[in-house]
Amino acid sequence: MGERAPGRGGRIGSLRGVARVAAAVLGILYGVAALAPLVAPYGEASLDRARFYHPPQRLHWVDDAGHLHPRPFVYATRLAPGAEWRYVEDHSRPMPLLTWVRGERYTLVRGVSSDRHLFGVADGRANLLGTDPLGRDVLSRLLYGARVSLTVGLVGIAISFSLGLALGALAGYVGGWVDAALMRFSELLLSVPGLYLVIALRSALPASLPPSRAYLTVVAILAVIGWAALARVVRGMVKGLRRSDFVIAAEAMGASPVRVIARHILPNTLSFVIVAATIAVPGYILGEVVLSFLGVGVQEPAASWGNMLEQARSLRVLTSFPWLLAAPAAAIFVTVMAFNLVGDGLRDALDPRGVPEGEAR
Amino acid sequence: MPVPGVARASARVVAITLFAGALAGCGSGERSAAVPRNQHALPPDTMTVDAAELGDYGGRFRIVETSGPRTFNAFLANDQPTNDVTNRLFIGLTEFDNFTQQTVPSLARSWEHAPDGRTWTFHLRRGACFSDGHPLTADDVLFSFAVIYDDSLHPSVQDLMKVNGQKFELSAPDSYTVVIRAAGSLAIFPTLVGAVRIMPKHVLEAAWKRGAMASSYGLATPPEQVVTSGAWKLERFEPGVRTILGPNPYWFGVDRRGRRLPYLDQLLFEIVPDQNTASLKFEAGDVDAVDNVRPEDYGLYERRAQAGNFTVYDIGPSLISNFFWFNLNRVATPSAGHRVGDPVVGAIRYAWFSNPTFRRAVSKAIDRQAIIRGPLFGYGFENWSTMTEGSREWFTPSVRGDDYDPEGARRLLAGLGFRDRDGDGVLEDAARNPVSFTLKTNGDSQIRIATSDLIRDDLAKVGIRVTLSQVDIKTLVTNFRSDFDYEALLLGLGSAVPSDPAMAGNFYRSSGATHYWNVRQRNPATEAEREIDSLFEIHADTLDAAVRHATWTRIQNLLNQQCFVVWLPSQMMKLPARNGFGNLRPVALPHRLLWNIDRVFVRRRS
Amino acid sequence: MRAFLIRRLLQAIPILLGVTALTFLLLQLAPGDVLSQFSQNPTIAAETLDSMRHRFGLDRPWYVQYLLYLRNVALRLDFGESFTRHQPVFAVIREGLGNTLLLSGAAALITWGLAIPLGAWAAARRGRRVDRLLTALASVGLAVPELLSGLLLLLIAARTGWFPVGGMHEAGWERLGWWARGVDVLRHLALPALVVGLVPLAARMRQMRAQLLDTLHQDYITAARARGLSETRVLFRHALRNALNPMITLFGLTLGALVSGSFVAEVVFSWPGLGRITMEALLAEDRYLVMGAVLMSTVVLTAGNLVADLLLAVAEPRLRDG
Repeated sequence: MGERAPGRGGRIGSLRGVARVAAAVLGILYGVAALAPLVAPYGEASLDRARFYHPPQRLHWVDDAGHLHPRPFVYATRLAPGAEWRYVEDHSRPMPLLTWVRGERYTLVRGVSSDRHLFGVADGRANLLGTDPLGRDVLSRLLYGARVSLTVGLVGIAISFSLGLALGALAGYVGGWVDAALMRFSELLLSVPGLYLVIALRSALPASLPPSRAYLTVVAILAVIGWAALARVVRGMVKGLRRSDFVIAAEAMGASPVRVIARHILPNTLSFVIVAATIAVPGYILGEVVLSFLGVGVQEPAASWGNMLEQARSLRVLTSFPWLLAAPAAAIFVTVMAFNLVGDGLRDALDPRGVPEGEAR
Repeated sequence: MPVPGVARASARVVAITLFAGALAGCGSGERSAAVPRNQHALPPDTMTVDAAELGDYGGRFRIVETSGPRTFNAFLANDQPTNDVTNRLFIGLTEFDNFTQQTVPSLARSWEHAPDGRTWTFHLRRGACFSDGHPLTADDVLFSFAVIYDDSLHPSVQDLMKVNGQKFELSAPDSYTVVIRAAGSLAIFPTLVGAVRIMPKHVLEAAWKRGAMASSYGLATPPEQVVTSGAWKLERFEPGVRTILGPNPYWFGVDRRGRRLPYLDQLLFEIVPDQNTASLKFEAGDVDAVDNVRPEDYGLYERRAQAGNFTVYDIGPSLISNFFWFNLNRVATPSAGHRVGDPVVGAIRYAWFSNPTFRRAVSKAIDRQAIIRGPLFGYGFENWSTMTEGSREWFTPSVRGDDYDPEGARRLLAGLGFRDRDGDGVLEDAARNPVSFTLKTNGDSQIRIATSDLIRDDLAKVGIRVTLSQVDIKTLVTNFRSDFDYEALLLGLGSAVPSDPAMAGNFYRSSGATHYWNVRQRNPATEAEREIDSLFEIHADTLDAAVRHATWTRIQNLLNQQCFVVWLPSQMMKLPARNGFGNLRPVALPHRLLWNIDRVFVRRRS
Repeated sequence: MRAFLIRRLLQAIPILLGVTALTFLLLQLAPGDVLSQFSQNPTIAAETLDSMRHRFGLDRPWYVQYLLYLRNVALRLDFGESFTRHQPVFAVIREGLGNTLLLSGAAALITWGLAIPLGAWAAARRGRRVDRLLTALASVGLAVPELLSGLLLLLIAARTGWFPVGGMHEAGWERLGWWARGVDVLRHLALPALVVGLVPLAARMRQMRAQLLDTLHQDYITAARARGLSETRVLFRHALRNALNPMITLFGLTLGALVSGSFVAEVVFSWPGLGRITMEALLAEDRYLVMGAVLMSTVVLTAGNLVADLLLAVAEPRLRDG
């Protein structure tokens, strides 16, 4: 609707309201993920034998006597006798939620380590999102898992999209045998059984590699062969735009091919590419569910949203321990929704300037 | 989440009305078209099969398989789904009663052995016939053995039918007698020969002579051309969907009244690869039993048992033993940095692993009760042998291992000179190497992964750092059979049928291929292994039960003193099966449901 | 036109060679082989496995095996035998092919039949409730993995009885009439097709919407500038072609993937398709079965892309120089 302000700051600034909120949510997610060891009350692998399958603990503000507490608190719990996992609150032991608590030692980045966590309880354990079959805190694992899952999406699209755009544009613009060669090569890549590549790669990687790094390597390799589909679509679009009047005009004025592609052709593909990116990110995150299903996903005891989902994928969990499924599913949904809204906003903000015929700017 | 009964019923009515005429075969226990019975006379030598109740003809039983059979040729059957089918279609000289865990007569109605235990004479039933009416005689037994001994074919069962590496010699003095001579005496001989399934010579000999045995009785064979020797024959095969078996009209098994078995008109194997889906199919009434239920699902089934008209059978201790071990193998083929004879795990780790005290310390440090409470959901028991409590004959209660004793573990480790010199929580050995190793297991078993996680946590408490590694099952198998690329490996060992220690020679013998911690040794590497070898020879050969038990007890104790494997808990098993079937008796030894399926019948609703 | 087709056919040959060689190599690199599964059985001796290896020709170098394979395929159309199923590869593939095409076809129908209209609707009502709802639903569709949506739908099927719990047809199916058989299969097809088609539906819908927003947006400007109707129509036609351009390519990729099938849905719904057979073959390293499946999916993939290129040429004659 009229002029679009060029420049980077202007683009973000001109995102509509919803998209701005979504972008903020993503920012928070990535920020929290980066600081996961600090924000998470417990370690990713820290298990508690006394608390298998513990449901999420309720936060209270008012105690039994009716007094309002300044800090929210949880009650300590104990295992109720009986066959299945059932816990009862021990109302004689309220545990207030403190900030900047001492807990397990962790290393944030090389050289920076601490034992202070953003929040927690003084003694005992508080599991706000419950625990998993080994008594590990779901909230902590969700935060640590965010590091893997959120990165994987970005790494995946960074590699596959840069390759796909570049090679697709090249094929579409130049045409001829370059186009044929690139497209046939992309068909070859699309035919290779990707899953098999993953399984073969998995066993080739050394066992001492930290699990998340191993998975990242796998994703990177998948992305390197994953550019093929995007390249095909981009090539088709570039071919179509190639013969547009404004492109011919630009070439006639002496613009170099790179400039023509970058300034005139690719911007018209942006709508598609942005939406494709918002679709690809959850694809990479959820791809790990299938890999875990086959036993070659992110290794225990490391957490990722994908392997948390796969472990929770059972009727038992659905009926008795739904929090195990709800937590990663909700996290994934929020991320996907946020990416979609941001993508829509970006698309609106970066609308290709001018109609192909006529208003060359 | 569950829809109330009324709403469900009305939904059903709607569905039925909408698809009237399209529905076929809904609901359980429905009578299929009646199969004509007793069209052929019974043979003179029938086999009276004992069962708790006498039943009536009719009905069907549907079970779930994770995949379809790969062939109908019993000689080529190598995996469980195929064996489940071929073991109904074909019989052997003897059969195994999974409930009493004893060998019972099948094609052979009796047998005796010479005093030296090397020559066995089997007397076959007279008048037994194949499913096409052709007589079943000693010729077919000799033919079947000849095929399994065919080296160009080399069926896997051939390796079981050898003593000291030598094949048996078979002869048939007459049509109903088979004499088998072995190079040595073998205690489990009668049970063992039952593993060779008898297939029809008159149909298959020509193909075998042509070299086409491997493609005979394949999946594309029309059902009527699959001639069987067992209680069942192939009725219908729908690739990828289901296998349907029907009764063999010439079967020689009868009930106490003399009526020919089996009672059921149909035995269906539905192919359902996913465990959750199998559970839902059972709930919806599409199948009559579910096997291999995860312990965390037991409670789920028990809550539904009343409404779903089924019973959750408590079949007791599983016969699968779980353990992990340390890699003591030595390099056999030289490669970069590895000379022949070097330990695969390197000198540093080998120094720890090869020390029985180290292994005992690790075993003491493990909280097995937590493993039972957690991954096994409370349905577990401590196990200290390849013969678990589920083995009637061979479980030895006096054989025990180490109780949970982290303090004792720390003392043992300190005694080895391990100390935490740099205060990082991890012990170092005398040469300041941090005591750590990698524990590998297969990634598609949640129970194993959770167990290895608990082990990691247990050992961290005594100062040993464990890194976990999960790989797919094929890589794992290659690791422990061929390339030994692991430090410690966690696995389970299923029970063979029969559940007899003599069947586990490859595990106990130091020269065995699955003597996991140090396979195929030329000479026993340790004194204990030398002793186990000689004890095992006696145990496998002698026919004296007392001697067998004494040697078996000694073998187990030796193994546990040395801690060659670190034992882990095994599972208590439950199996849900639909009500309304008589003689249904699930047991822990596989095949848990089908072992007596020829006696199972559908109760008439009175 | 004919020259174009011949050229593409010729270009397909190096692809087939490349894919088969690459797959063969991957199979070789992966640890173990088709006999590893038997290694787990402690009663099978190593010598047995070695002799089996020799019998199957697995102990020869991989390029020898590969060349032999090529020769058999080219000269006798013999695609080898499946070790695990003791059947010719061709027979095994034929068994699953029809079922997979049925499932993929139904899923593609759901995807493309709904994505185009829903995407257009969302674009037309941009910013309003319908658009927001569809975007939210698309997010749900993209965020739920097949493994999970399959489980949920099966749970509903089991509890309500509206749909069968997996499988392709009931026992006793062969005794039904043609009409009843068809209905039975359709009932079994409904849920897995929904699961397979759901994620692509969400994706294509969003892409359709984005593409149309471009064009409708342009329309708005032009109309607002009150130019002549014929120009608007030209604009609309041209812009719509651009909008459809990526969708056509994507459709070609969908066509190309019809044969690969979704092994996840086939496993969860017990659908006897090629996807499941191929995955089992991959995991068991059943060499020739894997090769056969890969060959076929490559052929179909190249055919699908060819169709897409042809459609693009029809939509935009200027593209036909490719």
